[in-house]
Amino acid sequence: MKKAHIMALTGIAFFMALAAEVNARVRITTTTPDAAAIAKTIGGQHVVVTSLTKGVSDPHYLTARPSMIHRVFRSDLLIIVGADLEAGWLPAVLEAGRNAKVRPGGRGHLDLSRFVKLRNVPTGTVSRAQGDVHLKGDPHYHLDPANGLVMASAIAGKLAELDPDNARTYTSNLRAFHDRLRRHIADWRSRLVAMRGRPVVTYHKSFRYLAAAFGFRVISEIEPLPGIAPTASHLIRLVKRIKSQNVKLVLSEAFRPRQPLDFVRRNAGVAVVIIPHSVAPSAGIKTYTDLFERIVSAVEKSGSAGR
Amino acid sequence: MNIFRPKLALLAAAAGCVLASPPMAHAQDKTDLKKSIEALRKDMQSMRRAYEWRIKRMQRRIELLEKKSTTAKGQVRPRPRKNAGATATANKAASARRPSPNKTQKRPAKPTATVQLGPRAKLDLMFGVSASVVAGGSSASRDNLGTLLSGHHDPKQNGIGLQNLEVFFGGTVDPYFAAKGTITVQVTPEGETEIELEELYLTTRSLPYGLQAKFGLFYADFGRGNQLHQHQRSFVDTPFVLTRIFGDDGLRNPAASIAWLTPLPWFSEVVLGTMMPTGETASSFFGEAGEDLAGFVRMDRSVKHLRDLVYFVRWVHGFDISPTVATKAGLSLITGPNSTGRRARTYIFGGDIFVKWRPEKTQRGFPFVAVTLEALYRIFEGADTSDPTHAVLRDYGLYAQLVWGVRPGWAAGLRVGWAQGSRGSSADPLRNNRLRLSLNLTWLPSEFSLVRLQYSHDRAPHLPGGNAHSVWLQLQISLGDHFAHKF
Repeated sequence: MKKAHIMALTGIAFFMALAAEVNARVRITTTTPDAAAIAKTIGGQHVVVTSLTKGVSDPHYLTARPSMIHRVFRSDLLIIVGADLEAGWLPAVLEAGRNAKVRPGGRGHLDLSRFVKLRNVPTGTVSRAQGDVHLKGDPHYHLDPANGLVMASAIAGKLAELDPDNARTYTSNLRAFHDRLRRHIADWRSRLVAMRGRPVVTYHKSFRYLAAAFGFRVISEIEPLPGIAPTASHLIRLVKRIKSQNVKLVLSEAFRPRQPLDFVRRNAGVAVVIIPHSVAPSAGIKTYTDLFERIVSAVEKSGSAGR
Repeated sequence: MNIFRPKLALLAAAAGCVLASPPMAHAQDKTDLKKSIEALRKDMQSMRRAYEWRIKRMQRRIELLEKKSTTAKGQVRPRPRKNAGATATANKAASARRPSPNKTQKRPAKPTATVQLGPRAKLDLMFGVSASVVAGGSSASRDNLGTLLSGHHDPKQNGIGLQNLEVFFGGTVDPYFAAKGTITVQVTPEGETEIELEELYLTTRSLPYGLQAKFGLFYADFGRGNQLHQHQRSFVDTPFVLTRIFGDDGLRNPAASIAWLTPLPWFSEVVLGTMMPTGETASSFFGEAGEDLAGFVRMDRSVKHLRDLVYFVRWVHGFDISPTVATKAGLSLITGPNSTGRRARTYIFGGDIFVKWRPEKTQRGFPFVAVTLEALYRIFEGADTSDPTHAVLRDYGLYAQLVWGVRPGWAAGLRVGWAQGSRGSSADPLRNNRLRLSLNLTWLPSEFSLVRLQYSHDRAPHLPGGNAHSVWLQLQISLGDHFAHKF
C-alpha cells in the first residue's frame, strides 16, 4: 500500500517536473513556417515553436480555424509577417484568443515587417481597380535572404527581452545563424550570377524581393492584376512580350493553376520553374536555408542560369 | 561578433565558377565572368551597407539586455554599487542610452540609414460597407412573398430590390475594450428607407483566466445561423427555421455575456449571457404587443424582475480533424418569459455543426467544401397554466447546407430547410410543415464582389397550390476595410 503511494507520488512529481520544464520554455507561435524555422534556430531548446500555417497554401487566403485560437491563447510570443498579409484571418483569431500579451501593442507581439525595408509601398491614391494591392507594401520580404538576417536579429532581440536568462544562448545562436546564412548567400548569388539583369515573368507579384536579391528583372506577371485570374487576351499579350523581350524563365509557386503557365510555356517557349515560396516542413523544406537551396537549384536546373 | 566573410566566399565562388567552366571557354566568356563577379562584389557591398547597420543596432540591444540580465542575477557587475537605488539609476541610464527605433531613424549612423522601415503606422480603426442588390422573382403572389421569404433582408418583391446596405465599423477603444457596430439601410417595396442599428457592442481585451465579456446590442450567441449577417450567408435568403423561431431579424437585443475559454486541450468555449426580452427582435419572448402566435395574443409586458430577462448558454468546440479538415460544433440553450401570459416561458434548444475541408494546395482559397447542419427546438408556453386556453407549442426544424468551392472564383451551394410545429394549422405560415430546397451558383470575380444565381423550390401549405418556385440573381459588393472572417 505504502509502496503504491510512494510510486504514485513519484509519478506525480515526475510529471509536474516535466510540465514545469515545458512551461519554462518560451511558447512561440508564428503565422508562417519561415519565421518558425528561424525562431527554432535562434531559440534552440529554450523555445517551443508552432506555425499556424503550413507553407504550402496561398498565404493570402487562409481560414481562421478554432485550433488557431487555442494556440494563440497559449502563447508567450506571436511572430507575424505583418504588412496586412494576415489581415484576412489573424484579427479574428486574436480577438477570440483573449491573450492581450500577444495582441498588437503587447510585449509578446512581434511584427517582423517593422524591421525590414518594404518594397513597393504604394503612394498617392490606391484603388482596388488595381487588384488586391498591398497597401502597406509587399509582404513577401522573407524571399530576400538578407531579410532573413534581419528577421533573425529581431527574433533574437525579442527572445532576449522575454527570457533574459537565456539571452546569451540566443545571441550565440544568432551569431551562428548569421555566419551560416551569409556564407550561403554568397554561394547562392554566385550560383545565380548569370541571372543578373535577366528578364523574368512571375505568376503573382510575390517574387520581387527574390528578384532584387539575385538581380533579375521581373518584367510582367501571369496575373493581369494582383489576385485577378489571367484572361486569354492578357496571356496572348504576355506571350508576345515574352518573345520580344527574350524572357527565358517563368517563376511560379506550386499552388498556382497550371493551365495559364502551360499556355505560356507552349506558346512562348520559356522554361516554367515551380519554386517553393515558403519553408514547408511537409514538403521537406525544414529550414530557412533549405528554402533558398531549393529555389536556387530549381533555377539552376532549368538551365536559365547557365551562361 | 561581426564575422562577415564575403571576400573569402567570393573567392571560393569565383574559383568554383572558373573550375566549373569548360576548358574551351572563350576569352569573351572570361570577361563576362569577371564582370559578373565584379557586379556580385558590388552587390554584396551594397547589401552589407543596407543591412549591417540594422543588424548591428539590434545586436547592441540584445547585448544590453544580456548585460542587464547578468547584472540582475548578481553574477557580473560592471561597477560596485552602493545601493539598489544606484543600480536603478544605472539601468535607467542604460535604457536611455539604448537607441529607440525612432531615434535611430532620425539620426542615421550611415547615409543609407535614412530608409523608412516597415509600413507606416495606422490606427486600428475599421470602416467598411457591404451592399446587396437582388433581381428576380417568385411564382408566389406579392402578398404571399412576405410569408414565403420572411427574413428581414430576404427579397421583398419581384423585380429589382436593394436587399441590404450594411455599414460596419470597429476598433480598439483602449487597452481594455474593443468596439464593433453595424448599421443597416434598407429600401422597402413601398420606397421608404429604413435605417437600423443592427449591432453595437464592446468586448473586453484583457480579462484573466481566458474570460471575455461582451456588452451592448448584439445577436444572441445561439447556434451558428443567428449570428451571421446577411452577406455572410452563402445563400440569397435566410433559412426559415431561423426566422420562424427567432423572428424576421434574428434574435438580437441589448445584452451582456461572458465567454470562457476552457483549459481543455482544444478550442472549447462556454458562453453565458443575459438579454432583454422586449421588441420584435425577441419574437419568441415578449415580441410586439398585440401580435399573436397560434392564437395566443401577446400582452404588453415589461421587465420587472431578474426572471423576466432572457438567459442563454452555449458550449462550442472546435478542432482540426485532419490537417485539411476543421470543425466547430456547439450546443445552445436559451430561456426567457413570453408575453402570452404573466408566467408563460419559452425554451429553445439548438445544436450546430460546421465542417470545412480545404486541401493544402489552394488557389485563392479554392477548392473547399463547407457543410453546415443546424437544428432547433422550441417549447413555447401559450398563456399561463391557470388559463383554460393554456397549451404548449412545440416547433422544430433544421437546415443543412453544403457549399462547394469548385475552382478559383466559383462556388456551388445546396441547402435543404425544413420546419414543423406541433398542432400547427397548415394555413399558419409560422407553424405549418414547410420545406425548401435551394440551389445556387456563385461567381466571385475578386474578394470584394460576387454574383449569385439561386433557384429555390418551396413546399408551403399556406400558399395557393402549396408550392412556389423562385429565381434570384444577387450582386454583392464590399467597400473599404474588410473584417477578418470568423470560422
